[in-house]
Amino acid sequence: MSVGKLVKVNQTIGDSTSTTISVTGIDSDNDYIVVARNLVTTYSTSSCYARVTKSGSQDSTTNYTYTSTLINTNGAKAQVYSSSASLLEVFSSQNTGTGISDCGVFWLKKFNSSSDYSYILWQTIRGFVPQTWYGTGVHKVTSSSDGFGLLLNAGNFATGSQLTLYKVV
Amino acid sequence: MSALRLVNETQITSSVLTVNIENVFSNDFKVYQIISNGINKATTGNVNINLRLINSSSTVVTSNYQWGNINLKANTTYSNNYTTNDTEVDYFFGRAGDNEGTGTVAWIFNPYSSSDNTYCIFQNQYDNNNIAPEGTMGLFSIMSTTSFTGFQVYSTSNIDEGFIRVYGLSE
Repeated sequence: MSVGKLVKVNQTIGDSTSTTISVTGIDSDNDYIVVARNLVTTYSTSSCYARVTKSGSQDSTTNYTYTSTLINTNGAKAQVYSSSASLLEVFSSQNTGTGISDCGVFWLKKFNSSSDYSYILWQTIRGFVPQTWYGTGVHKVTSSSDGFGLLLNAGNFATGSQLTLYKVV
Repeated sequence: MSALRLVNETQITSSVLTVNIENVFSNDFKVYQIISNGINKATTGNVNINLRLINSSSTVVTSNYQWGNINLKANTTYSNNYTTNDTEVDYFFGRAGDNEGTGTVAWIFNPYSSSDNTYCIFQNQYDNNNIAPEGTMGLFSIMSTTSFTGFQVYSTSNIDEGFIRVYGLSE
């Protein structure tokens, strides 16, 4: 998906101390995008998920509805979906190794609205045995979301893992 | 000022098999957006418009591409294409026919880095030789820490129109 003019809002860089990484600063009704780059875990194998943030904290309530499709360079493909999840599946299992990292782009819509749900569209790459996930999800709560975050089920985000938030103007 | 900075715009104005777009990746940016539009085959029929990377020695790299995509078709079921070792990235710029054109939006990560692998996600659309509209969503990677400075638009049959823009994303 193409975008118009982008204005950088905020950036968060991992420091190997946390299993989550979030970027906040959504305060207008514009669309936003988050660019994830150099996502690396401190654990050899872990899974990475996404959530919206409310007042700076990742929302773990079971209000996420999503579908996501996997395309793998080795031929595997799959679809996952849920109508009452506590997170969004945006990557599959990650592995560490020289030069290997994960990255992706997330399009955020209606996050600032207090009367609409928060909508997310994404396409990501897992670096180990390269594969892409593309999908769409909704956080079905009518309150403002001020940001976006990722979380791991094991290990921490390594130093240099980064999320950058841009406003589309 | 937009965080997306135009690095290069290339117009295809003559009938060619390849177009080299060099010195667009540098240490200035880690993430780039590539947008193409209107790439058109010079004669009837259709042909894949592919991508190859160019390394810092200005050599067009013809090995080790890992790519995969889902090709959605308006007139039949989708196809799933993939490989773990190819000489180019097939369908990156779509599949061009005469007087049709294709369009691609791609995000490429770490192409210039000599310590990170290069990864790319892309989407495109085209009219498959006036049969039916199609669209592709895919990825590619080269699983090595080679530094790339550009890329080549590569076809096995001449193309004669279109433009490619490269933007760097300021972090």
